[in-house]
Amino acid sequence: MLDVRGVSKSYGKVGALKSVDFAVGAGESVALLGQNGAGKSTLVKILSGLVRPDAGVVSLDGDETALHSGARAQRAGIAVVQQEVATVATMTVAENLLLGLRAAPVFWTTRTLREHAKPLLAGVGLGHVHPDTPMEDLTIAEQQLVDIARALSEEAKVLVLDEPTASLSDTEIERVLGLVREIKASGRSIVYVTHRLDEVFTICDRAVVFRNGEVVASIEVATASVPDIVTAMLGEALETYFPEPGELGDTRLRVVEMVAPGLAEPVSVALRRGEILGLTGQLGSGASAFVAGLAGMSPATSAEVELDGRAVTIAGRRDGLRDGISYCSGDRKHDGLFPGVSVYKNLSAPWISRITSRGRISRAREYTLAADVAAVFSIDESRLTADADTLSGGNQQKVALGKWLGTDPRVLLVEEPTRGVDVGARAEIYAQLRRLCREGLSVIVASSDTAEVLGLCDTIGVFYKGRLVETRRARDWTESALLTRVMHDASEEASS
Amino acid sequence: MSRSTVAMERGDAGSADVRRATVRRPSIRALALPLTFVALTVIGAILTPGFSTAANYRAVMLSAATTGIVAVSMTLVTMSGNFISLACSQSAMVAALGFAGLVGAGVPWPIAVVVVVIGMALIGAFQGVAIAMGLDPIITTIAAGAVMLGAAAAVSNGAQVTFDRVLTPFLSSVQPLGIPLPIYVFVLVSAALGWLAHATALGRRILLVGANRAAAHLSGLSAQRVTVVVFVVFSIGTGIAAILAIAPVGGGDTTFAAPLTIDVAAAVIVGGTILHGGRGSPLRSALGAVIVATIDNLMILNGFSFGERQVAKGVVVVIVVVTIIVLERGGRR
Repeated sequence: MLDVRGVSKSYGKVGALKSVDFAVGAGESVALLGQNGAGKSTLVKILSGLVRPDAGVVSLDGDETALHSGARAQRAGIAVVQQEVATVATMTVAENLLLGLRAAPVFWTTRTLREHAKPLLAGVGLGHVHPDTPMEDLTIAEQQLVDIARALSEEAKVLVLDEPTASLSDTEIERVLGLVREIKASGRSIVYVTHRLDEVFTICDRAVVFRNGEVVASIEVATASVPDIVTAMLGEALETYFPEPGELGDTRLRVVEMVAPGLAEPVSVALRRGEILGLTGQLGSGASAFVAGLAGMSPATSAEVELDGRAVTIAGRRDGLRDGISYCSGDRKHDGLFPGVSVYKNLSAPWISRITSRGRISRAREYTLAADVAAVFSIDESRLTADADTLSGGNQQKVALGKWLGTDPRVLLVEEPTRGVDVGARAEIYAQLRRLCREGLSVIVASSDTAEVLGLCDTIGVFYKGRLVETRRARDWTESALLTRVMHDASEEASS
Repeated sequence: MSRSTVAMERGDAGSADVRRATVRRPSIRALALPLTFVALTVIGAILTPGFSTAANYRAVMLSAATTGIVAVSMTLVTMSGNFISLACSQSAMVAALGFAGLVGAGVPWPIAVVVVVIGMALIGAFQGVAIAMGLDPIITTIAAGAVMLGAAAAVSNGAQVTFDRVLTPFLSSVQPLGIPLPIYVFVLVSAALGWLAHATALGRRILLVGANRAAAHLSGLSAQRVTVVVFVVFSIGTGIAAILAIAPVGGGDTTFAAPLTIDVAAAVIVGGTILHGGRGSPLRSALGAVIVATIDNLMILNGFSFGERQVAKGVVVVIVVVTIIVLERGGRR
C-alpha cells in the first residue's frame, strides 16, 4: 500500500533521515518507534507533505507520489493526525470537522454542517456529542477523536497517527486504541507513532524502529517481547528499566487534611526521607491538583503541613521554595522552560540568589553549578549555551526537572515526569530521581502512567474523582489491581 | 546533595567553561546591526558631502542621545514582556515642561532635576503597579499618555512654558572636550543599563519573566516586582532625557517631543529586541538609536522633508522586522 524507498532528509549538516526504506501493507498497522531525534517526526512531516525529502520516493499503491504540500498528501490518500491537537477551540465541532478539507463545500449552512458531522462523530464513538458544541467544551481525548474523525472523512488509504495518546489518561487511551482497531479492520493502513510500548503490543502488527535517522529493525510484534523492542531502540540492552528502590528514613513531610481546588475531600499523606510517593489516577482525578496545591500554586489551599517536624505554611510558590519544596509541573512548555534563553540560564532560574552577591551574578559560579546539574542528568555540556527550546523533548524535560537540584530541595514534586520523553531519557530520569532519594531527597510523583508509578515508586496512592481512595506500598500492588483502582472505585459501587 | 564539593573538584575547569559560555561565535543576527551601521556610515561618507565631518558626527550623536537614553531605558520594559510604553512622548513632555516650570519659577536647577526625577519615578511606579495588577501594558500606557497630555495642557493652558537658560548653565551649554553633555549621559546610561541587564540578578529576572511568566512564577520570581521596577527605570530615563533636551532650548509647549514614541520604538526594534520579551539588549537599542539618527541625518543632508524622513523610519522598522523573521526561519530549517 504505502512504500517509502531511500528517503533522506538533512537539516544543514545533520542527517535527520538517511536513506530510509519501509512499507505498510493494506490493513496493516505499523508502529514507528525510536528515541527523540531518531527521525520519526521527520518521516511523519514528509508523509504529511510539510517537509520535502532531499532524495527518495514515496509510492502509494505502486504510484509514485510527490508530496509537495499538505493538500497533495491529502489527495494522494494520506491523512495525518498530528501530535498536538490541531483543532480550533472557539469553533464548533461541526466547523472543525470541515477545517482544511479538500472536499469542503464553498457554501454551507448550520444544517448541512450538522449533517456532515453526525456520521463522522458516530464513527469515532462521539455520537453523544452535539455537532454545535464548541470545541473547547470537549475533553482533550474527545478533541483528539474529532481530529481523527476529520482525518477519516478524507477517505484516506493511509492514516498516520503521531502520538495520539500522549496527553490522555488510560481510559481515554482505550477509546482511541479501540477506534484504531476498527479502522484497521476496515482495510486501511495505519502508521502509528508512539512512546508507549504497551500500545504497540495492543494494536500494531509490526514495529519499525528508528535510530539516528536510520531504520534499524522491523519487528513482528506477535513474536516480540518488550526487551526486544527496547534493545533495538537503545542499541544496547537495558539492564533494568526501573532503578532498585532504596532505604527509607524518618518522616520528612506530613500533610494533614489538605483542601485544594480540584479535590473533593481533604487529603492527608505522609512522606519519608528517601521515599518516592506515586500518586496516580485518570486526568482530573485530583493527583495533580493535590501536588499543585502542596506546591503553593493555588492560594486558597488550607492544610496542616509539617516538614521535618516543623510546621510550615505554604501560601504561595515562594513559601514552598523557601522551605525546600520544589515543583515541576506536567506542562513544560507552559511553565517549565524559558524559550529563547540558554540552557544554563534556564537551569539557574530557581537559584539566582545563590549565585548573586551584592546584586551581581557570578557567571563562573553559575556555569559551574549548571554544568554539575547537566552532568547529573547527562545533558550534553556543549549544549549548555544553546537555547533551551532547541533541545529534544527528553532533554527539555531534563532541564525542566534538573533546574530544581540547584535549590537543594528537601521535597521534589513532579507531575508527569516523562510525558513526551523517549525511553533512554526516561530511564535516566528514573535513575536520577532514585539516586537523589538515596541522598536524602523525598519525591512525590503525580502520573497517569500506571506502569511508571508501579516501577518507580515506593508507595502508591490512587486518586479517583478528587479523593485519595487507597494508599499501599508499591510491592503490595499488582498492575491489574492498580489499573482497576484507577478506573473505578469499588466503595462507590458498594454504597450505591 | 553536596553541590559545593562537586564544584570544588572541578576546580579550574570551571573558568574554561565560562570562557566557552560567554565567547560564542557571533551569529548573523548579532553582526547584522554593527555591519548595518558601518555600511551606513561608509555609504554616507561617500555619497553625501558634509556627512563625514566632526561637527556632523557630533550632531548625529546629539540627536541620537535623547532618543537613545529613552530607548535604552525602554529596552528593560520590552525585555520583561511588557511590550513598549506608548506614552514616551507624553512622559518626556511632562518631565520637560515640569522642569521648565520649576526653573522658570525660580527653583535652583539641581533641585528641579531631583524633583522631576522623583516625580517621573512615581509616574512610572503608578503605571507599573497598574500593569502588575493585571492591566494590559498597551492600554495602560496609552491611558497614562492621555492623562499626562491632558494634565499638561490644562496646567499650561496650552501656552509655552519657558525659563532663562542662564539659570541652567551646566545643563544648557557645558561641553567637556567639545562634546555636549547629553552624549556623555547617553553613553553612561547605556553602559549602566547594559550592565544591569546582563550582569545583575535583577537583569536576569527581567529576562526570565519576559521569556516565560508562568515558569518564572514557578521559580519564585515575581513578575509584578519586575514590572514595577522596569517602568520606574523607564520613566526616570525618560525624565533625564527630557531635561537634557529642553535645557538648551529654554522652553516648550505640549507638542514637545511629539515624535519621540515612534523614534524610540524604531531604535528598540532596529536594535533587535524581541517585542514579546525574553530577548534583548539595552546596548543594541543604543546602537539602534544611533542608526536611526544616522539615517535621519543623511536624509536631512540630502534635503528630505520631515514627513519623508518619518516615512523612511517606518520603512526601516518594517525592513528590520521582516529581516529578523526571515533570518530566524532560515536558522531553524
